[in-house]
Amino acid sequence: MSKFRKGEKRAQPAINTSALPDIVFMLLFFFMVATTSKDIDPIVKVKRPKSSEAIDLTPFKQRNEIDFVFVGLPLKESMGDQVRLQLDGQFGDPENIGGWKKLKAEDRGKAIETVITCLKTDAEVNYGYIYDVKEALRDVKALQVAYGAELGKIKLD
Amino acid sequence: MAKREIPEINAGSMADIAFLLLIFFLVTTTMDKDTGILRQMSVKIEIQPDQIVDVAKRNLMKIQANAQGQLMIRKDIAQLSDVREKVREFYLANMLDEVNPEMPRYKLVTKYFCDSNITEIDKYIAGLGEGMEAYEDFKLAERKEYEKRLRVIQTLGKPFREIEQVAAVQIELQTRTEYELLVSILNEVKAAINDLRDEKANELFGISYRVMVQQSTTNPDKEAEYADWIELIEILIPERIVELKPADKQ
Repeated sequence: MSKFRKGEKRAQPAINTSALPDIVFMLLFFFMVATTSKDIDPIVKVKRPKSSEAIDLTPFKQRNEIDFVFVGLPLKESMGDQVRLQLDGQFGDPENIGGWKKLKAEDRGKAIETVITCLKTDAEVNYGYIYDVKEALRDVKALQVAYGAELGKIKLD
Repeated sequence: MAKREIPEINAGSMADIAFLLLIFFLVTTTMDKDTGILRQMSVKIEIQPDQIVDVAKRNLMKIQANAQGQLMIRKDIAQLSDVREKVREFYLANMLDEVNPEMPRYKLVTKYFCDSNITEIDKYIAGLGEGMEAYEDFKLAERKEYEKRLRVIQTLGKPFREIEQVAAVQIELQTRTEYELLVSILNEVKAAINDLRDEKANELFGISYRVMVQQSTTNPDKEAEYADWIELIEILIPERIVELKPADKQ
């Protein structure tokens, strides 16, 4: 009779996984709070420039006072190599934006003057194009514009 | 009677359900925040050539940039890093005392000045004929501005010095200037103005302007609390940035 029994396999105790759902729920809540929903899939390429004075537009979005317009080159090369607008899910040009804004304002039941237009523009788009878009917006009295920019330090040189 | 034991619910699949939800949220959401620089554009109106008013040179600070990314401020070659300091100087040069004839003047706004202007506007509106509604709106907007200034005098308890109403920062780019440069210039100009506003707000109310704005966009209670202060600061340090038509556009 020996005190130490050798060579006898002991069963491994099962790992307690009852806390696993808690951990996953924690992650879930983190992502629910920290992210915003993707309501449109971009069809133009937008790499935003940086700005330290940019403000968070989420409050306006929650109050439903903002329209997003993407400006950049089409993602698919077959769609051409000219800078285009993305109005909701479709391609557009500066001439179309006025009519689109009017429709959006009607859908919202809000005056066109109160809705901000956020131009999420690619850093390399020419100012002449932005100017055309702005003039088209001024024509329909949509005077509030937000220039999309990422929050961050800009390069000074 | 014997108590029946309640069988325990098997929670083993809870984690699976949570994972499913987690993955759903991971796929349908984005991390990047919607941020941007807010700008108010001016109303388009028809102007006759004889109605164009010349603005004195001292009141304008023209920032120009070409397609190669080179900058000029008031016709002097400059760097992006100079913009902030120059805009600051533009506002501060004559704020306390008239010293620099090349920078915008300040004038004293008194209660009497506002009152007399409001009576004059009222008289003008009363004398307008049919079909002049556009002028009436314009004049009413002007009247509101004087009312705001009266409120400022009331809050401060004394008259204040205000920069000339036509003083403005102009940004003139070319058609092929990149968007990034526009944002960078706007950023620097805004930063200079917001710094000045922060200093003013700290001096008067002990809270910075940026904090007030940030809190009032997210919290409706704060919005009501800070609305008057924000209005006051925005009159003391007005933000007038004008984007001009691209220099090479026909």
